[in-house]
This record gives sequence, C-alpha cells and structure tokens, in this order.
Amino acid sequence: MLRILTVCGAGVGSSMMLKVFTQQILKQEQIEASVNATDISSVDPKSADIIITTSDFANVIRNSTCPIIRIDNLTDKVNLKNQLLETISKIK
Amino acid sequence: MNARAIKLLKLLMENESYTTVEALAKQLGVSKRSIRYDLEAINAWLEMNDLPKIVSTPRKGVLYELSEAFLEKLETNLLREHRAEPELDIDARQQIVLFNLLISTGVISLESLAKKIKVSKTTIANDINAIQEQIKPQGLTIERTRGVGIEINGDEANKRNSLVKLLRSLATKGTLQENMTTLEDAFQSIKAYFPKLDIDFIIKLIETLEKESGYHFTAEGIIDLITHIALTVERLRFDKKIIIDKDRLHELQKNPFYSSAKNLAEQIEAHFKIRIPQDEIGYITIHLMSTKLTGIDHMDVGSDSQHNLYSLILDVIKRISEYLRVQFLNEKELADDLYLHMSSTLERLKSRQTIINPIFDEIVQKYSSVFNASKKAIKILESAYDVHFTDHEISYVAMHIGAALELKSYKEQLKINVLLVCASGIGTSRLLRTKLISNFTNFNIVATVSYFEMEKFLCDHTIDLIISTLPLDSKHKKSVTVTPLLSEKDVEKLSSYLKVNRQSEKKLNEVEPLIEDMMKIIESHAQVHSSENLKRDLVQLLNKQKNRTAKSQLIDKDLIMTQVKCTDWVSAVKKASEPFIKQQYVTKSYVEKIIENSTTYGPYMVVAPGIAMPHAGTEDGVFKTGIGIMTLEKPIKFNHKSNDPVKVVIFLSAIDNTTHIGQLSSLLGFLSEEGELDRLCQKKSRDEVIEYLNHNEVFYEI
Repeated sequence: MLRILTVCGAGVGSSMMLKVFTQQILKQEQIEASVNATDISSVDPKSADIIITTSDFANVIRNSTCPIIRIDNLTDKVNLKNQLLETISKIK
Repeated sequence: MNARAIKLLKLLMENESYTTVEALAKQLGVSKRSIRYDLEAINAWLEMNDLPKIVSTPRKGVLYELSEAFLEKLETNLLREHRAEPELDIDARQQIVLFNLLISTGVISLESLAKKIKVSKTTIANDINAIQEQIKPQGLTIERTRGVGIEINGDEANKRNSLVKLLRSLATKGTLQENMTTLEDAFQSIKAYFPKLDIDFIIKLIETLEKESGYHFTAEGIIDLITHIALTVERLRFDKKIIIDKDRLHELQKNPFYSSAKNLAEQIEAHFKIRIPQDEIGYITIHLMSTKLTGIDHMDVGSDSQHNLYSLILDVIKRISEYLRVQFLNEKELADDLYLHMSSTLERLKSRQTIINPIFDEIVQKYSSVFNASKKAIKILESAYDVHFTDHEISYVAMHIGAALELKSYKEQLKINVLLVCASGIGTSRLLRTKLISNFTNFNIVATVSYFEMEKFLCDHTIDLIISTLPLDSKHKKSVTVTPLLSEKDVEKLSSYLKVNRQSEKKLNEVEPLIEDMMKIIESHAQVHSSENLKRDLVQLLNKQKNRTAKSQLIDKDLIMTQVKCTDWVSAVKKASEPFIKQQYVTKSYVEKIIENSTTYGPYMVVAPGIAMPHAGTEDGVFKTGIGIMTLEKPIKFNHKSNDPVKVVIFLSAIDNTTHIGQLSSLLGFLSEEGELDRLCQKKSRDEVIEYLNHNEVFYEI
C-alpha cells in the first residue's frame, strides 16, 4: 500500500492538517494509502513513498529518495490535490 | 444479532402482553442494561429487514406484535441470520492458513489447503496475499512455485516465533470477551494443534520447574513456554534446527537460566527419545529469560548492567513526567514494575520476538497522551540498547504509566480484602487494580497473583473476595470474573455481587431526565403518534445542541484579540501567546520554542496566504488545547516567500494531535474562502468576531 508521510515542526499542527486534507482527497479519489503525520526531528524518509511538507522543511529533509510535495498554502486544496495525484501517477 | 438477542426476540414473540425489562433480565439471567442493548440491536436488525419494530412504553414494558404476514418473513430472516453465524471470519481463516503453512515441512498445494479449510482456491490465494504482508515484519516470505504450491521461507527461529505468537492468539482467543478461556482451555487448544505430542508431560515439566526453582511465571508466559517446547520437539523430529550465533550461545551458557534449560532438555530427550542440540538449549534459555516473571522479590539489581538499566528507567520516568507535567507519587514502585517489565522486554527485542497487546487499541485511545509521552521517552532505552520498541511494546509501558497516574487520584479506605488473579502480566493487573480501587473505595487489594500462585496464597491469607481475569473453578465461591479493562458491565457485576451501590454512579445519558419532562409536557398538550420516535428526535436535538457547545469551547473568548498593533513577527507571536500564558494553556518556554523553531527551519508557521499559525509540540510545554485568533491592525512580514504579509495569527496549543483538528480545519477552510480573511480583520471586538464566526457556522459543521 502507498505510504504517505506529512511533516511539520511539531507533528501536531500543519502536518495533521495536511494529513486530514490528504485523506479527504484520497477518499474522494478512492485511492488506498496510509497517511501518517510526524515532526521534522523524527521523520524517516525510508518509511514513506511520498512526503508532503512545506518548502522550509523540504529543504531540511535530505537523503530522501522518495518524491517530496511542497505545500506552502495549507488551505489550497486544489493545488494539493493536483500535486498529489500527479505524484501518485508518476510512482505507479 | 448475537445468540442472546435472538433468544430475547423469540421470547418476546411468545408474550402477548407487555413484559417489563426487569422481568426479561431475570428470565435471561443478564442485567437490565444488557436487555436494553439487545433491544436496540434487535430493532436495528428488524428495521434493516423491513419488519415492524418492538414497542416499548414507559412503565408498561415492551411488546412485540406481529401479524401473520410478517411472521414467515421474520422466521426466514432469522434462520438466515442463524446460519451465517458459525462461518469463520477472515482473520480466523487466515490464521489457520498461516498455521498450516508454518507447520508444514515442505511445499503445500493451494488445492489441499482449500480442501482442508473448505473454501475456494481463490479465497485461499487472496488470504495468502494478505498473510504475506503480515509475516513480512517477522522476517518471513512466501515462495510460490507454479503448479506445485507454496512454502514459507525464512529463519527457523523466525518461523517458530511466528508460530508461538499465532498459537497463543488462537489459544487465548476470547480472553477479553465474555466467553473467556481458562488456562485449561488454552492447554486443550495447544493439544489440539499437536495431536501426536504428549503435551501433559511438558505441562508437568514446567510446573515442576516452577515449584523447584521458585520462579513464578504468568499464565501467558506458561502458555508461551509450553508452546515453544512443544514446537522444539515437533520441529526437531523433522530436523528443523535453530542456529544460534557462537558468541551469543557462549553468553547464554553463563546465564543462570541455562542450567534450568539444560535440565529441561535432558528430561525432554529421555521422554520423547530425541536429541536436543546445544543451540536449542540456548533457545530454551532465551525463552525462560524472556518469560515474564511475577513478583517483586525476584528483583535483583546487583550487577552493573542491571544497575544501568534501572537508572535508565528512572530517566525514562523523569522524561515522561516532564512531558506530561505530572509528579509520580509512587515513583519507586513504578520504577520497580518497569524494571521487571523491561528485563523481559529487552530480551524479547534482542531475540526479535514480537508481542501483541490484546488491548492495544483501548490503551492508545484512552491514554493517548501517555502513549505518546512513553513513545518519546523510550528513545532513551532504544539508543542505549540499540533496539527498536514496537508500538505494542510501548503500549505496555503506557499501561504501567497509566496505572501509576490513576493511582494518584484515589484515597484508600480499607474494608474488603480483595485478591486479584491475573493472567496477562503485570501491566494489565496494575491497571485493573487501580481501576478497581477508584471504582470501589472500600476495596483493599491485598495482592496481585498469577493463577498458579493463587492456591498457595489463599492458604496463608484471609481474603473476602477474589477478582480474576480468568474464570475460576466453581469451588471458589467468592470470586468474580472481570475483563482486564474493567468495563461498565464488570462494575455492575461487582456492585450487584457486593449488593452495594457504586460510589460514583455515572449518568449514561445526561439529557434523559430532561427528555422525560419534555415528553410529559408535550403529551399533555398534544396527541403524540409515536412517543418512541418523538423521544428519539428530541434526544438527537439535545445531543446536537450539547455537541455544539462542546465544540466551540476550544475557542475561548479570552483567546481572541482584534486589530492588534505589532512591529515584527516575533512580537506578533509573543503578543498572540499572552492570553495562552495568562490562562495557563502553555508555558513561556513553549513560546520560546516556537521562535527557536522558526529561526531554525524558516517561517513555516505561515501556513497560507495571510495566515500564520504559530505552534510547537505538546512536549514543549502545553497544558491545555486551545486555538487563538489574533487579527493585526496592519499586515506584518514574516519573511515567507509566497504567503506574506500576515493578517491573522492563529495561535495553537495542542495537548494531543487530534482534539483540535476538526475545529482548526473548519477555521482554516473558512478563512481560505474569498474575502473572509479581510472581513474577519475588520471586526473590532471579540464579540464581533464570535458573532461573525457563529453566523457563518464555522464550527458547527465538521
């Protein structure tokens, strides 16, 4: 199953919002995937197929082989959806 | 519908007049509450099948009237319901498939598996796909050979660990449900899986070992040990051997348990006429070591390495109490418990055995903050011993911590001497113990013992009541069986046993009395067609209203500030945090952490155009969840490349990662709509902001 990781500074704010929005999109599109939220200090890039985070954190996550989606506007679900679907189709 | 509900429905069909719930409860030998639950379940089922529902009238009771026309339909539907029940559920079927695969010594064909379990080949093929995922973390893979069949590949030790885990879950299935298994049942189930093996001999062997050596095993540990030994014998017959690394074996031979293991092995060799290699004796040693020992008197913190573990555990407890901002009153006792627990945990982790906590979900749900704090604090041990704690292992730690916390909140009053008998280890019984005490202030829990220690204990002590998580023989007249988490039902059972009223009777439904009053008023003014439906609608309405108030509570009026003057982003964050610090939502260091994080990682707190959401982690100093709204008089630059300037600061403090999500996402969703952000900024006072948010129903529809 596709593993998606949302990342932010503390693991309770933006990453949880990203998680909720991502889950909503996946449900709409009927895509099965696990979505987990975590904080930047405990992120393990190997545990995910796709990482979703803000630009600031994307620059910090190194040695990641999986694609990173950069979201700078948390409320722009259309952008999130487009990027997410595009990335998923690339992986498959 | 379960069997009892079906019985109840049949009973009601026979009765032609109203029967009280009380009479029904008596007749079926269950509580009134159970009957009410069953009635709800039956009505739901009847509705699903388009059949008339059971009528219940206050002060009269319940009645089920059914015309001839419906009778036949009901009976066919019931018959179908009945027949559907005994079918294996998917989990149980997959477990059986996995068992057959693990135990086989060669390739098995799909066809023979399908025949054995009486399902189609496609079903088996699907099960195998699921199983493949399940066993991957245990270091096992499935190899398929076209036209021949399938086989499990992997280390013998991994295979055996996986088998033991599986057998335990099969043998103790139902331990947490109403139809609990006794240890006897568990033995019977092991016997069923090893029909050709003299399991009684192994049971006797372990019991003798326990007596002679003075070790105390928990019931769970005994089941594991017996299964391990049975498997060893079984696998050696097919020449499937465990290989242990030479250095590790050498180390094991110095362990005090090695001589016990050797002794066991000799007796097994003589009885089963097999030869047990040294590596296998080492393997038995590992299992003796990792089988949970009960009783604090076995604790010996003598050697350096043990001392080291003990002090690390004290560090873990300190870290957890910092995260949770609590002081453990019984720190020493907690440390002793955790030490005992960790000694076996570390052995398990080193030998890559996995453990499943049967009440994992409940723990994570009920004690989510404790679980998260434990998870973070346990990193101390992870790095010291270079192991990885699984979430299930962490849940056991959380159980110990949760128990210690619950212990804090009661005062002891000694009246009834209670002996607690427990099967599933120290963690469960501790939790049960504190739950019992907080529900029954007159309980004095004399001791917690395992099933095997019970008899001995009863000889030497005066006990008024035995409370057990396993059903005991009928000769123990003064015993009550409960589930490890002590459900409401258990409390009821105990209360009725003691014929005492509980100290803290909880109201199940707070709106109930109000509804009764409203019903009376309505009935006196109007003709009610269906009092049942009216009541249901009223309950819904009131509950909805209650939820509304509950939901808007996170946004405290005091956390809203309007048109605030700030010069830069740091002062804006500080200003927004002021009411949070004043009302003790967060500490000052929480605010410093936010500023520090932003300096390190950049202005990530600007989550959307014009919106900043400053926050840090729960462990950085949060006491309470809160969402603040601060609008700025003039927009401020936070140095974000695309979302500047910021117009609104939504300050967030979160005690966990779920409570605030619903409200926060509604708020952000609302503010992202065209023009709403600017409209919010025009509001001059708190009341105007609240009025505006309420008017737009921001927090109602989540």
